[in-house]
Amino acid sequence: MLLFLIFIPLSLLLYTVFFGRTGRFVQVLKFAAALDVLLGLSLLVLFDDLSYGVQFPIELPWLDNLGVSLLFGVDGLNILFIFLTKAIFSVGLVCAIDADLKGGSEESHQSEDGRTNIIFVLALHFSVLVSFLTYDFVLFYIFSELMLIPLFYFLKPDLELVNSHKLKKIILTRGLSSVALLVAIVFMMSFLASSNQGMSSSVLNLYETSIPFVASSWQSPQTLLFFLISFALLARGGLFPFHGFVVQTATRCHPAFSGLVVFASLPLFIYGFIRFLVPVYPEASSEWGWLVVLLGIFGMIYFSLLALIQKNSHKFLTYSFLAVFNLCLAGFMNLHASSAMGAQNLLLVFSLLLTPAFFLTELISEKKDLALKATNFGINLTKVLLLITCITFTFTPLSASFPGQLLLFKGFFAKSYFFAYFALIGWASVTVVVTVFVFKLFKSLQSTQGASQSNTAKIKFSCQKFILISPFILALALNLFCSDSLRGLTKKSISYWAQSYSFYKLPFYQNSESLK
Amino acid sequence: MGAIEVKDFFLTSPLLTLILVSGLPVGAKALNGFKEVSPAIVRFFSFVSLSVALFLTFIMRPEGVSYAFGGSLIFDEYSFIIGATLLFSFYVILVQFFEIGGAAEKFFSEHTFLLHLSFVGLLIALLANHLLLLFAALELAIMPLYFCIGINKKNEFGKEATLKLFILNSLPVVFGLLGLSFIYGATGSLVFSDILQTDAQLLLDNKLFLLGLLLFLSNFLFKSTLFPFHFWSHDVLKGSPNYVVSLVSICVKVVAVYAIVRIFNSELFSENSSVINLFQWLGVITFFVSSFFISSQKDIKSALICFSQAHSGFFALAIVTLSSTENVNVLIKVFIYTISYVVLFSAAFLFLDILERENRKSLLVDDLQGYFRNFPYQAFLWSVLILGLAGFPPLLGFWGLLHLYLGGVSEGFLWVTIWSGVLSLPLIMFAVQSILKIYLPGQCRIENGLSRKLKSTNVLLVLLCMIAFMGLFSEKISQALAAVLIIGS
Repeated sequence: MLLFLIFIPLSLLLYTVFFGRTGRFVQVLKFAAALDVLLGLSLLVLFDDLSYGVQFPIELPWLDNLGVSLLFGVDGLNILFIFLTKAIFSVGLVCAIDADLKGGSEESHQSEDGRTNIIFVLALHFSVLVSFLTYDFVLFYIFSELMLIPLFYFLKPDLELVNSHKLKKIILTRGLSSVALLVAIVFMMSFLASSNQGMSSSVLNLYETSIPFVASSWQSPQTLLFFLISFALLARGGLFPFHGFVVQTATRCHPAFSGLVVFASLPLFIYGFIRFLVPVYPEASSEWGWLVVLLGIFGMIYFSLLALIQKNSHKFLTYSFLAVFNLCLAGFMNLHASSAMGAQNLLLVFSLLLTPAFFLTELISEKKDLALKATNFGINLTKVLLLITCITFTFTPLSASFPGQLLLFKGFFAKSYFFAYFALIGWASVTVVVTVFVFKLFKSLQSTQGASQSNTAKIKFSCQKFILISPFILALALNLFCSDSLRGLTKKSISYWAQSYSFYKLPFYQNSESLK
Repeated sequence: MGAIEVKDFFLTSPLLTLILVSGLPVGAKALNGFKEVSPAIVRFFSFVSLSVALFLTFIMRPEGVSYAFGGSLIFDEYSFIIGATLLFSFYVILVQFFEIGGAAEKFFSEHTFLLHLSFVGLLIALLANHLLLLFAALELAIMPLYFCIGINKKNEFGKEATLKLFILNSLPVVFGLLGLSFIYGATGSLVFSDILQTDAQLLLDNKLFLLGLLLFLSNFLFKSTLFPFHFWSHDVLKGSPNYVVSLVSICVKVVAVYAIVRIFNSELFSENSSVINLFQWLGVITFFVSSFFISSQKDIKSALICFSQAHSGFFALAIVTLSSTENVNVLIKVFIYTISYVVLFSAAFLFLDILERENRKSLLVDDLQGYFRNFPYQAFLWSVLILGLAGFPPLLGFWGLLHLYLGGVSEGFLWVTIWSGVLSLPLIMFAVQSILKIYLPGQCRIENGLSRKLKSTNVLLVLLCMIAFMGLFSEKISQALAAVLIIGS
């Protein structure tokens, strides 16, 4: 099963590289994208609710001298992320085919640029998928580094950027994070070797090992490694205060790819905290986790304020998502079942919302005729979509993210009032920012509606995009009325997660079993 | 010193083959009234000597440690593994050298012979079990390079570079000789095994011995371009032909490093951590200096020299790691790093050499802009090479560094490992920026790319394949090295 999951993006990648100019190329890609989603769904269905260890395992020996093996599997921690990856990248792939990258030409996929875009989307998909599936630290490192190649492609560097200090700062941060992660991996492998378990980079072996920890001392190995890996994950994920790369890439690339860039950067590395940090360094996480929570909350406030001053809708959305994902990180690192569950819900909802939301920015960007786009559908769909986005971002009952927000703040209040107040202030600022922005857009839609009627014939619009994103919009819209869809999924996911932690005999979140 | 035996000649047959067979064209020239021998014949003999030497290296590999010429040469696992790696590197250098064409046709056979002589000097230094022999062999390796650097009249910087090398090299040579005399005065011997078996207290009590050792080591610091003797390499190599740059940056450096390892890997030093600590700091400072200077480099050659200098810092980590262990697994890890270094830099200097030759100019980093537009596949290959040098996974450079770091950390050198990682950041920055330039639109100033007609292009492709895939099979390399080391021990 997993082999198929990994094989599809890889084979598609090779197919695009070698046969990307053939006539049936687009049909094959679309079919494979649909198959990919189906496989992701079937994985979700086939996942055994009663067993929380590694399911569908693949273990192939590779470098025995280093203890590196091709170890892949699914458990409660990554099952939902894998489904999300499949869903988001399949949509992203079709969007890449469909995106008007060559001055509005619908045949862009046949152009060299269109084909290159698809190649890099597939490469990013493959890297992200393997990063989610692997239980091996070295493989995680390798594939999270490989992700850089497509991400730098989407950054679309020009001479000005290449010679700027901005890029130097980005490379320096990413480089430092690579070094930090590599040193941490090397130390852990050496530690396992010295503790007579043999050289290994499997995270499952690390779960069974206790790394020395001295309370209140930052010099103990566990604390040092906690800081090294936290820094590495924060910097790679583009979380506060290392957000430069994500902001630059997501805002410079075509909106069709912004969602993929943000998903590849943020949720993947938030998952890194759950998989590689908290379980391996439990004591250090208990003692120093508040620092990451603080950064997360501060990041949320900072990004929501930055979003407030943005005039470009593309940038506005990037900052808004950054704010939300920073809050998710704070929720996970709060190390409370309730806030973790809330964070999981938010992560799920906003990851699903990523691609449609960035598509909206394409529609509502200043260069396009807003009203015309909207009226092309017969109904004012843009407004509906905007409304859904707005509701999801804000603290609105019945919205998809509402239970997540509620649980998140419940967890914060249970753990620390200090953080809870700040988190509330941050979320309130996000709410205000999004609401203000959406009202502004509504206003601009109204004002341009009359003026644009004469240009109807000139503007092409691809309904395919909306057919593709409609399941997501539908899922969100359904959630306004049906309490069992995403909320149910979130609850299921967190129970998987708690069970997996319990299975691995890891100390956190076990009390969330009661929430099943 | 014992008597010379027949087996000594068998053991040293690779060296003798290299020197005698490559010297045949020179002999023929002398006998033929100094009439230049056909370059094809010179090339033929040169490659024959190298191939036979490589073959004999594997055939004559002794099981365990053997000595030759009264114990002045030692044949062990170090000498076999590093010797074989350097022979491979020398093959690439020869390919590079033979395609220069017309650089020194008048003295082509002598030129070729001197290059072989220099390499033989390096191999003797690798095998030396006697301090004086080690010292003399290293100088034998450097002296022919004066000729190789200065002979090309078209190269305006050649003479200046030769003079600089001569003057700058004289200083550590004098220091080294002085150090030798101090060591002899303190211990009464210059044979490694005798010196290393002396009481460890000697290092603490006898200032003459300590001073002698430091002075002697300064010569090796110079050759391995470690701080504070790193400054010459940039000045000298920038004015040297690329094959000399390869020889100095790869072969001379590796031999100097392993000579230091041979000295340090003994009980004498394992009980005295101060010298090991000194090397840790030298490595870190070397890193700092080369990383600091790389951002200001405008031409590719200087940047690659800086990269190579920074790797001296990694070699310092290798030295301190190997000095404190007999563990086969750690030895294997350091050897894998060394092999990765040799492959990476052989490819880097070869690639640069071909491009510079085809375009008849020194290439600047800015010249790379638009390279992708003109030569997409070559630009991709260049990216693979530079990413490999910067240690990007899953390329060979990454695996080499991972092995070295694992070796260093397992021996307790965590902080040097962290420092070497952090200080390599400017190198990574430089690599990423130069790669991004390749893919920028613009007028490409590289008019001619790699030519398929050249042998060196084919060799380069093999090297690039090794960079891309060799690390993925490091398990096999590790097994092969383990087999050698276990038989050797």
